[in-house]
Parts: sequence; C-alpha cells; structure tokens
Amino acid sequence: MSTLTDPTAGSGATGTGLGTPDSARTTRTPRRTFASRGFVPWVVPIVVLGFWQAAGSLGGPNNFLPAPLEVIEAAVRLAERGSLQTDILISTRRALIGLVIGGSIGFVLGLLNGVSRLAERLFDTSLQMVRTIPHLALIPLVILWFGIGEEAKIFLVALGVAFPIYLNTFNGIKNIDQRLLEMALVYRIPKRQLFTQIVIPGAMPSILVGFRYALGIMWMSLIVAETIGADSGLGYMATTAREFVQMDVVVLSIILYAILGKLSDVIAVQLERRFLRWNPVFAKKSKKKAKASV
Amino acid sequence: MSVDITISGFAKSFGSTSVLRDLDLRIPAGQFVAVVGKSGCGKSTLLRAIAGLEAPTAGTVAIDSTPVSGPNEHVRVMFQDDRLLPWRTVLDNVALVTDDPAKAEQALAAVGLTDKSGVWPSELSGGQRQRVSLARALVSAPKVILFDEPLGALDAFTRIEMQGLIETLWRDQGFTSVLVTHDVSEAVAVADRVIVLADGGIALDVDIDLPRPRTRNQDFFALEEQILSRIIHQPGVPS
Repeated sequence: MSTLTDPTAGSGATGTGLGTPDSARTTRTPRRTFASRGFVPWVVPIVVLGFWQAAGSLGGPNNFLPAPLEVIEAAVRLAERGSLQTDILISTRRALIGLVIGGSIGFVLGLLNGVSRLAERLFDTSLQMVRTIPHLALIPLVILWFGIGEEAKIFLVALGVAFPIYLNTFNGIKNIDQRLLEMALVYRIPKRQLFTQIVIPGAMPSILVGFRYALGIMWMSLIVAETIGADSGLGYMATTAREFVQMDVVVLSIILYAILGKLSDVIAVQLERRFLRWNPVFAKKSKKKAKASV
Repeated sequence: MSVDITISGFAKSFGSTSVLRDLDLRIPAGQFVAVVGKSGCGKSTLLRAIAGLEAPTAGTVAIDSTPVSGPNEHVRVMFQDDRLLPWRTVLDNVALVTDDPAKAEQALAAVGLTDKSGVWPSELSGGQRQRVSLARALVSAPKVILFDEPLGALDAFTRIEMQGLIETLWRDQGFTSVLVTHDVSEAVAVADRVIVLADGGIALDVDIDLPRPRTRNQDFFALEEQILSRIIHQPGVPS
C-alpha cells in the first residue's frame, strides 16, 4: 500500500518544482499526471508476469521456470493440504520470537550504552567487534550447539536483529540535540521525564531505521537457517521441494519470502508514520491527503 | 514577585583565554537590564553563569543572596533558538514544565497563541516558535528570566512586535530580566539599564530613563548613539 503513495508523492513534488512553483498553490485541484496514478508502480510487475505466463503457455523449457499459474496451483494444492499455512505460521513464529529476543537485547544495550558513559566504555568496543562477524558464519557452531531444533533458528534470528537495533538506538541517543538537553537542564525537568519525553522520542527516528533494517535481516537469517537445518517452515518446504524437483513449490517459497518481507516493511512504514507524525517529512503525506479531501 | 541578582568578583576563562575579569554587578529586583557588546565580549558567558550553566572561574553569582551552583527553579532562560520539542504539540511543549495544564493554557494565551495549541512546532513561523518558547519560560511564574539573544534570528518587524510583547509581560509580572543582545536599539527600547561589556569588564552602565511605552524620538537616538559609539570606538586594543 505504501509503495503506491510513496513514488507518486515524490514524482508529483518534483514535477511542480521543476516547472512553475507557484502554480501548485494557485490551482484549485491537484494536477493528475500519468505518473501520479495509483496503478503505475504495478505496471512493470504485471507486464513481466504476463510475459512469463505467455512464455510458459507457449511451451518454453518447462523445467527451467514454471509459469505463474503453475505456481498458483502449487499454492492451492499445498493450502488444501494445510501444510502451506502451517509452514508460514511456523516460520513467522520463529521470526517473531527471534525478533523479540534479539530486538529487546539490542534495544536495552543501546539505551544503556547511550545513557551511561561507563556502560559505553565497558561494552561498546566488544559489541562492535562481535558485530563485524557475519552472524550466518556461526551456523556450523549453532548446529553443533542446538542441533536443528527451534533454538538454533531463534538464536540466529536474535543475533542478526540485535545489532542493527543496538547500533541505531545507541546512535539515536548519542545524537540527540544537545540544546534540548540543556533546555531540560535549565527547566529542571526530572530524570524520568527527561528520559521518556526527550531521550526516547529524540532517538525514535534512528530506532525505527534500525527496526526496519532488522526486519530484513530477520527474514534473511531465518530462511538461511531453515534451508540448512530444519524439519518444518518455509525454508524446509523449499529444500524438500528441491529434492523432489518440485520447481513450482521452490518458486512459490521464493515468492512467499518476497510477500512476507514486503509485509514487514509495510508494518515498519506504518510505525514510522505513527511515531514520527510530528516530523514534516512524514506528516506531508497525510496532510496532502487531508487537503485533497477538503 | 522578583529577586535581585548580585555578581561579585566574577571572572571566567576558558583554558588560557580570559573572557571576563573581576566583574561586579548588582541588578535590583524587577529591573530590566540589557547587556550589549561585540561578539566574544562575554555577554553570553555572563548570562549562562547567572543561569547556573557555567561555573565562574572566580567570584560568585547570587540570586536573592543565595549563591548559584546550578540551574535554579526561579530562573528561566529563553534561548536564541526556540528549543521546542518537535514531537510535542505547542500546548504540550508549554505544559512540559508545569504540572497544571490550565497554567499552560494561560501562558499560551498571554503570548496570543491559543489557536495554535494543537499544532506541531514545525508548522509555526520562527516568531511564533519564539512566542511558544516565551510562554514556556513564563508558565512557572519565574522570578528571573534570562534572554539570550532570543530575537536575533527574527525579521525586523517580528522583532519589534516581540520586544513589545516581552515588555508588556515584564510590566505585568515583574520578573527580573537580563537581556543579552547585539541590537543596541532593542536594548534601549526595552531595558531600564544598559550595560556595555568590553575588554573583560563593564565599559558603560547607563540608565534608560525614557517613559514607556517608548517611541523612537530624539532622546532615544541620543542614548542609542552614546552606547553604540562606546562599543565601536573602544579605547585600547581588544584582547
């Protein structure tokens, strides 16, 4: 949904900016250019799908890539059996548990090191060192520790999401406008209020960037972990399908990853709009809508 | 209700650079003092010391005969920039520093921004933001308000409007005021007394005995000229 409005708002602004800046204010109705139409971002995917389907129907090398309809048939088949829903649910559950555990650890460490100089000196260097290790490199070790049980997947997800959330929370707090903190000092704002009313909201834009980034890493870690060692979930579905050369199921799993990733991103964007609505950058879109409806 | 400010033997240096030396100044309760001078003359340093944001290198600052050791509940500062929290609405910014929401509304009404109470600071003009900042300074009925070039970034018309507003509120509420500014005309327009800082000390201390509200007449310009020439034609070389 968000991608529908994002590019249109952007291109509309540059359009008026390049031409006559005043006309945007004086015209009573907003100009409906082709670029501002809602369906435009979907043109390329639909055309690609059309070609793909046509190539499949006309009898291309069928074992190279199944046609879109075959993929949909596979989805229906698996859904009727109930295994599709189960696999999606299991994967989502693992992803969310990992996100909650890793996100909390990253957030708390970020807050602690951001607020306390001692904690920063104690922990930051070590965390920065560990951060540079690609967390997926730990897979062999993780399998030796946990086998292919739930813990292995959740551990990898948690490890992956903790760092972007830690770094962005920490930086967000470190970069809070010092002038606002001085104001709080002069106005003798109590510590607790300083934290909830100034430090957290001040770091929020950065924290949300970390969260959005963490969601991407969350799916990536989970899929890799499930592909390598699992007995359920989407990664397992894809690996099993590969063994039985079920090309349609392999492609289906890839498409499901894309949908789940997009869904997470939509949620992140909604959170940004909710928490950063005071920021003119995020307020602009909702305001434009309000003006259009008046 | 207001309090007096006593500064005695005050000195401040940053590293090896001495900004102010052996400065004595007494500001009676309720007086409106303007401090003017060239950039780097130490006027902001003096203000920050009264606010409790800078500790003096030597000497003392006392408010109501209590030595200042940090930010004081009776002292409020209005900064050059508004320092509003962008994530709180106008009313919530004022309410941040009081427990009584009704007082926040009153303060907002005093600066004439009741109709903007629900908007974000980013939607206001620079002058309106400074008015919110003034409301925030007023809301706790402080005994001293320190103005650190609060109008420096505003356009000339808004600045004159704001000077009038500050003067009116000061006459209403009687808080002791210290205004740091580089605008001599502004100093003469609002203050009871103008202090020129130069070479680490007080170079001129004049009372402005013009009737209020002030008009820019012959006497006004004569005082402005006297102060300006003292700032510009400094005897001796500035360090």
